[in-house]
Amino acid sequence: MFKANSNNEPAASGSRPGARSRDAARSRDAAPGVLEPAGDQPSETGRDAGPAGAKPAAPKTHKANGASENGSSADQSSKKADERKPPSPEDGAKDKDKDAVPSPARIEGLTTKDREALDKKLDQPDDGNAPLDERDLRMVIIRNLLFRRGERVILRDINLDVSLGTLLAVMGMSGCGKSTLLKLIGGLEKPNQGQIIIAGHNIAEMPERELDRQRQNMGFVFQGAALFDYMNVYENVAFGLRRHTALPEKEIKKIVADKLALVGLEGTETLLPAELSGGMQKRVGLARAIAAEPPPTILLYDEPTAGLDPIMTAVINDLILRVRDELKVTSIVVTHDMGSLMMADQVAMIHNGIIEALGSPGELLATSNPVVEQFIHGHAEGPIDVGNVSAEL
Amino acid sequence: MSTAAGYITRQKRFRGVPVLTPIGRLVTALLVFIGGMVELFLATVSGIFHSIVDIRLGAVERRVALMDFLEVVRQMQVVSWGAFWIAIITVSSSGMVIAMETVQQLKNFGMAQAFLGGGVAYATFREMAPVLTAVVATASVASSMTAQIASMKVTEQIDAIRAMGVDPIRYLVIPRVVAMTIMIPVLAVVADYCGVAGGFVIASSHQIAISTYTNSIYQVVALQDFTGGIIKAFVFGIFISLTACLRGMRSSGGAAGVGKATISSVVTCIILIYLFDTILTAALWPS
Repeated sequence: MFKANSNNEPAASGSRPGARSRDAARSRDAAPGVLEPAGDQPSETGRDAGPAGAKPAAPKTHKANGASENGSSADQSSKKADERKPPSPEDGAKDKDKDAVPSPARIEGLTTKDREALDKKLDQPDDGNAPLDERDLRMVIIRNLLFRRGERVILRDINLDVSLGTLLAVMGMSGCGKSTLLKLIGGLEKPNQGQIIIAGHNIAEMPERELDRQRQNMGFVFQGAALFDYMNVYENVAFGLRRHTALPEKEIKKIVADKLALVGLEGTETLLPAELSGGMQKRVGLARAIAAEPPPTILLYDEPTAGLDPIMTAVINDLILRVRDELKVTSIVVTHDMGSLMMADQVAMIHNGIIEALGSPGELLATSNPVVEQFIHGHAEGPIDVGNVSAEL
Repeated sequence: MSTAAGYITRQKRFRGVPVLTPIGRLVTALLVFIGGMVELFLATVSGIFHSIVDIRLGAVERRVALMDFLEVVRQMQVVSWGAFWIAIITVSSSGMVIAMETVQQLKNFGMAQAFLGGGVAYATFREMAPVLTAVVATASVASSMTAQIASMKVTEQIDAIRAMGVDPIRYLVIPRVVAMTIMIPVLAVVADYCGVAGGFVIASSHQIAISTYTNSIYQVVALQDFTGGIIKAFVFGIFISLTACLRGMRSSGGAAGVGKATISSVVTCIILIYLFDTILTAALWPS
């Protein structure tokens, strides 16, 4: 369990949660970004927090700094996204007046009462006319998620926020529930408990027909690309455009060509998936995920570089960053690849069904949490039980 | 004491040979299957209803409805390619066999001229054509449907369909169910003629004229024998396609899972065909 090594200052009544967390950050003894194990320190945001369940105490969410400075959209949301910078103690005073606040679950020093009030505010229905507030900057909000498969608990007490335009990498041992978390966010599975709020809509309780409409704003890149093997590349990429738009075929052809050019696969329209290499299939899968009109706002990647050579891995990672920057999408990447982890704005590690660690790549690399350390550095020995691999053959 | 020892001995014996567990598992599997079929049937009907009603909503819905209609046509082609020739050959052969088996017996009673044509047609219209067409369609088309959908399931293509906001029931199941429901009766009608023609081949070898043969058919066979057979084929079409799609969508476990789902689909379809044949025969032609 991680939290920043800080003094947990009690929340002053009437003060803004965002300001409190930044004050707490400024008062940390440890160097910024360095995470220490929670040890015996009690914390409202610690694992043993009362009925609210395990909420990982971690540094506040990093805002995206990859957004283009030439944000072309005149609307408020993209303007705010463009203005975001990585937080620093010097920004604390300036940030005080900003509307954006980090997740209540991850704000240190916040009392239970304030957290509940903020959560209640988030739960209010979005009538579309509400002024831009903290909710708009968090594209994905997960609260108290529990998912079981039969009797087996896969994920529990998951609380996570992903800000607009950021890239979250999710790592963990094989079978720990990373792909399941991604499918929950994509609405392909339903949680047993908890909320999954995507752009203000709680998809955990949404009926399937409405969920289909929500999913049109998302793109999903599957581990094996999941291309339709009876369609060629053009038909695969055009699939969503044909089913969800009334665009003429000429327009669809242009969009497909643009997306294939973006992923470096011009001229492959007539090929079948069986005729493509693994890397090419993944790129077609990515082109299919982003070939929507309007483009998706969230992209979910399930181990996009699995099974690829180092060069193709780097190509895919570059593409993910490029798509994030050009399309201003919020990206969530499930990965084991260190390159993908390092390019992320924040990294979450899942272990034993909970979020073991959450922070920037640098913070996780510098951590002394033995679980994270064992995973990142690839040690066979450690707190993560991998079975009796040292038994004699 | 001896009673207690005997009781303990009997318990051990029963513990080593479980009786209720496999029965319980079978009943559970049956209930799960029935529940799945009902759910899929209702989802299919609902999807068809929405496909038609949503046309008025806009250009996108009209385009999707057109695409779905073209997919139905494509699936009808698949069914006909897969089952047409086999159904013709099978039912023609069965017509010949019925004629061969009965002609000598009828001759012994001097009734071959009067009843051979009618007998072949009666058996063909009511039983052979719908049942054999359905069995043939199961072996060739339904197994292929299950294999295709199952392989899509294990390779996450169905998840990809859902992830793009498309209902897999509407995209995969409805075209197949509609196509089978239309084509099985059509094939059964074609098979009716082929079965009767096959019977005539044998009849002609016994010097029975075609006019005699066809008069026999008109005298023996009623319209409800023909329509009853079509109704059977219609019901078989619905159940075969739903079963094939359900088994495919519930498969798991990679290539082995695909194989298992395909076998399970064929076996279940054939059992359902004969089960519903019995029920429908009793219902359509009560004695």
